[in-house]
Amino acid sequence: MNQLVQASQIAHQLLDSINKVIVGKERAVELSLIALIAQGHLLIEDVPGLGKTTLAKAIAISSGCGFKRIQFVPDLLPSDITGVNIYNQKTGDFEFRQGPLMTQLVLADEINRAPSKTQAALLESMEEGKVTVDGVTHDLPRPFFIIATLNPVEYHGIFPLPEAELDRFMVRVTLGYATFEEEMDIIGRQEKQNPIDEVTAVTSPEKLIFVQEEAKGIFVDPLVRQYIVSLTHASRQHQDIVLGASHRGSLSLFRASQALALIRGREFVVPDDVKELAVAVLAHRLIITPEAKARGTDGSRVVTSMIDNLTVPGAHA
Amino acid sequence: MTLQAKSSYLLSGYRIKGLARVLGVTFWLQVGLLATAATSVQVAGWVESPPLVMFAFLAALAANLLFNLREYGRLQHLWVVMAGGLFAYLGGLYLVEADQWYLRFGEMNSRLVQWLLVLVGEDATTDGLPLSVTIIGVTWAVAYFTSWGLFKYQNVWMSVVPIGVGTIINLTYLPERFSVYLFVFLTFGLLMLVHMTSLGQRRLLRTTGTPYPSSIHALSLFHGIWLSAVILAATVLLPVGKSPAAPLEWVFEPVDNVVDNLQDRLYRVFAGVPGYNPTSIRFFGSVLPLVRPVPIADDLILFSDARYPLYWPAIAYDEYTSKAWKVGDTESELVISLAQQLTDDQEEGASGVVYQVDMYVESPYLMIAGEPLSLFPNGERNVPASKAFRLDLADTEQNRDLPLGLQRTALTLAEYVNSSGNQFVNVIPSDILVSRVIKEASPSGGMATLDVDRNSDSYYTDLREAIDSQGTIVSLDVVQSPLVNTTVSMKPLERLKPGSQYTVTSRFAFASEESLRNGTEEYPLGILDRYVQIPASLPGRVSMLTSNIVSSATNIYDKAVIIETYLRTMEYSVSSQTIPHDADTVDYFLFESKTGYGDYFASAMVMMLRTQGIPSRLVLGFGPGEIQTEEEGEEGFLVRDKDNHSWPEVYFTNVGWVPFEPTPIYPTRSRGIPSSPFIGEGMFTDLLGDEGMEMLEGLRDPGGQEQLMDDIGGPLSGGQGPLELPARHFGTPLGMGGALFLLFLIIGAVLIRVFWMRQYGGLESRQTAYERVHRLATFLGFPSPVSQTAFEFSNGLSLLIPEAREDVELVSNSYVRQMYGGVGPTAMEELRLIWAWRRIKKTLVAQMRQVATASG
Repeated sequence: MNQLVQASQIAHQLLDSINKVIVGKERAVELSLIALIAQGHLLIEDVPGLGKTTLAKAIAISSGCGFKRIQFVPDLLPSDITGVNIYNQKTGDFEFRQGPLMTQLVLADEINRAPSKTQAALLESMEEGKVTVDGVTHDLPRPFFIIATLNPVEYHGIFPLPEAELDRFMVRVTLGYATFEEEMDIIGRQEKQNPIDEVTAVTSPEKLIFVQEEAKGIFVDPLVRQYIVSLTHASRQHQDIVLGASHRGSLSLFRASQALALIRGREFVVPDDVKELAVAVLAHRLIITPEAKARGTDGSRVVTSMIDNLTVPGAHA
Repeated sequence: MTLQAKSSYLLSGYRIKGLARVLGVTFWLQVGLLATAATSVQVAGWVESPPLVMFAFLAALAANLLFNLREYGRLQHLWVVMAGGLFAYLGGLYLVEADQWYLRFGEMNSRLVQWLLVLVGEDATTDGLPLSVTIIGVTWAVAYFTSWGLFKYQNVWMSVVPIGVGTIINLTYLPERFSVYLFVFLTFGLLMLVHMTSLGQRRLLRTTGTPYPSSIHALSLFHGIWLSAVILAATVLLPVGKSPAAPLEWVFEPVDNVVDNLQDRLYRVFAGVPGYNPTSIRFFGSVLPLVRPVPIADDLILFSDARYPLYWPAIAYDEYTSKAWKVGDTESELVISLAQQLTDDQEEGASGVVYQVDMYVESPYLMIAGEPLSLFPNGERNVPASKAFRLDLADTEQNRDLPLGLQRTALTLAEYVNSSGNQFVNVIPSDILVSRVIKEASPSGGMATLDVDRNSDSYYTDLREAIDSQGTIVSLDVVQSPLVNTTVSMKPLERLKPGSQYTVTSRFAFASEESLRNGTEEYPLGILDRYVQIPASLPGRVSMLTSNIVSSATNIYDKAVIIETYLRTMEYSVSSQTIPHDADTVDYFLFESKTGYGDYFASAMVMMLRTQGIPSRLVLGFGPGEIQTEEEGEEGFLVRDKDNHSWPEVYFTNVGWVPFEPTPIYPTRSRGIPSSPFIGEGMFTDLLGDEGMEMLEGLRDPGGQEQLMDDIGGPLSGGQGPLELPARHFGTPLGMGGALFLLFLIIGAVLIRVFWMRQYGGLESRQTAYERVHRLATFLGFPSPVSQTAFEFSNGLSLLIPEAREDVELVSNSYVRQMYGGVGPTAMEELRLIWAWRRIKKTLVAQMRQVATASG
């Protein structure tokens, strides 16, 4: 059995496992998994109570990774998440007590409630895969995956995320409300016990790393690369956008497309993959002009309109 | 509506409909059609005119703008027609020559009025100006109304049919090299047809909401061109029978006759219009305009194996108007064979000659030297129509309107009313025949009419009986006796064509000068009636001049010779003459220009003779031509266009018509047997001699009596023309123009094919199945925005044709893998792809057809 098929199978096992818990959110689940496989981080933007935490937990348990949850509050300090050097009286020495960040899978709940200083600490770990405490750098475990949630409803006492930080999330998903039937199903499932309790690990961190490496090897044709770059280029020239997507945006789209191709069991990326992921990967990176905002436009709509106007290379004979 | 409001309304209309619509493809194609037709008329050079294309363009533009820019009413057409009239008038002014521009108006108006007078009257004119004005007006009207019809009713035939008919009629009068215009016209017509049909289809489909690709134009054009090319190629390759034109000729013959007649009749008005026959033959008609291009070309007209230089008369004109010669009324009689006349009146110096004439051009007339005794194949002789008169013998005062001679005759006869038949008949002059005797049968007033058949052998017996019958003669109906030897023209039963031959035995009466001098001045009634006519417009000084010159002469012949000599001192010139439109041609020639060509010399001599009461006429035909010796071919004479000639003939009682030669470049006519330039025995012979009879027998019986009868005409006839195939242009029925057109079509088709392949790819070229499906689907109107990916396209297509979903997916998967994954299809897969493509094509086309049918 070739490695791609193995990797794809692992991904699908994960998907199936998570989907057992999260009802009717196959798309969000897939996007989350893409962020995981592409070694990015996930930003979930949604109102409370729609299963953000459940999703994170389900991913963590299914993948067999270590899981920590950090509830961001205004008085949370960087050391609270990275860990701190504590003086050990027995040994008479400082020893490093690991923060919750030193886990494979971190759920940073409501990150916009913490001050910028704390957010910045998260920032370093996200990009570098390292944590520096008192001048000493600690490697983070692999795979390392942050799921951050944002609560768009409350505007009081929040610290809006800086652009640099938003840019570091590979994928943003919104769960959204379930349909009537799905909600009935949710209630029915949780009648006796929480389905999260039934979730077991279907894979291991090692296998996850194998999948991640495999995704990097997915072939991306120059035509598709061209498509990705022209998309981000277009965002920089779009009239409704103050600040377009960065190079990291292109790279994220590239990696995410590879991950999606892997999930689909394809050894190469097609423009459809790019198209499918463009909104999730790019929308949160764009800064919309106030005028456009006043018109009711948001990042998703701008990206959609860009896609609609962009020629797909090679699709038109 | 104020002016401002009006103009802004106009402008807004302009803006809304857009320039593209106002001056769109339809307009330019229409202009192309009109320009082709107008140019073909222009280059034909029928009349001088400013560029007709310009008028056609302006009229089409007017139709287009008026149709697009404002609501239309009937009054608008009236305005446009009036504008056309104005343009035509201005065009005419442009052509008029005058020292000052304002003088042009007067000149132009007087010429138009003059022309109209000729049109309603009987005179002839060679003025081309009114025709130029007419042609501009007609061009304008045709251009405007065809364009209007095209734009309004969006009907291609409203434009192509009238313009095409005009073009083709015009081209039928032109030599073959002009056929290129027909093919240019056909090209524009084809484009127009394709364009309008496509537009119509698109409109129809738009109303049903069916998507319709604009590229269908190219496809229609492609199919249209191929279809035309196939039809033309079939025409080219079609085996052509022995006589391809015969069936068509049969169809057109009645029409031809009508057209010929009409042309002949209207020639007096259209004489100024050139033609494309050899110049000389073109003027063979019942009217000879006196301003005509002098034929100077070397084109062969006929070859005759006569061994003597003979003059070839074609038509004799009797009536002079100040601008033209005309033929009066004629009767025709069939010339079958006049051999029996040989035994009759033998005259002094009469000799016969046999010759054969080979024609090189078409001609409505036979050219026959001498009085024909026999003719093969048969022809028709036109002679002056016999006029009928009624002589009132009871009351001779009633005869005042009759010619003087007849009045005298009536008086004489009135004295013999009561004499016996024998006596009465003796006093009837020989130049009249009685056709009816009207008698008062009883004193109470009852009338009896007794008809006499003047053509029967028993004419005199019948007449005597009629006179002797009961009652008193009240009046007589008489007709002129047929004039002996007065042939106006000889017509073949079938129009002479290049390659036609005819054989003639002619009699020549060579009267000596002495016998001519002794001629009497007593003329038959028919001659006096017809051949001394002088138009009222002839200035008196012509008569005065002639009287002065001939005062010394005592007889007709000497008078004629003096006039001939006088005219031969004037200058001969072939350059065309500009004679003021209000001048008399002869008068102008004699007193003003004193220079001219054969027609003027002959006309002047005839009119001068007539002022002296001497009957004379003008004969149009050919001079003897050029000798061809044995070394150059068959011995004989080659007559060319430039040998076209006219000469006067004077009537001498008992002799007939005697030619004179006032044109200085021709030698004077000999009054005896001409000498033969050829070595050996001449063929002039005493007609009573055995040799002459044998010769005639030999002529009559090359293949027996039966054949002679057969050759009179009818389906069995074997002698109705050349037996070899008529020459075909470039070996095809279409000619050189057709071959070029075919080539043009094929090049056009290839170009469109190349365009098509670049746009949509050739179906034979190596390309992926997906590309084929994509092209076909988008061509059929399936939407494919640029942002669509291959999978999105195939998913959409699968929804349209669910039955082909698997094939579509196979095709798109394979394509995507090849395109983005760099993995080409295997051989097996390629085979499956081909089959998938075929199934998709079938399904898709069927589906589209279903949609189209369902929607309309």
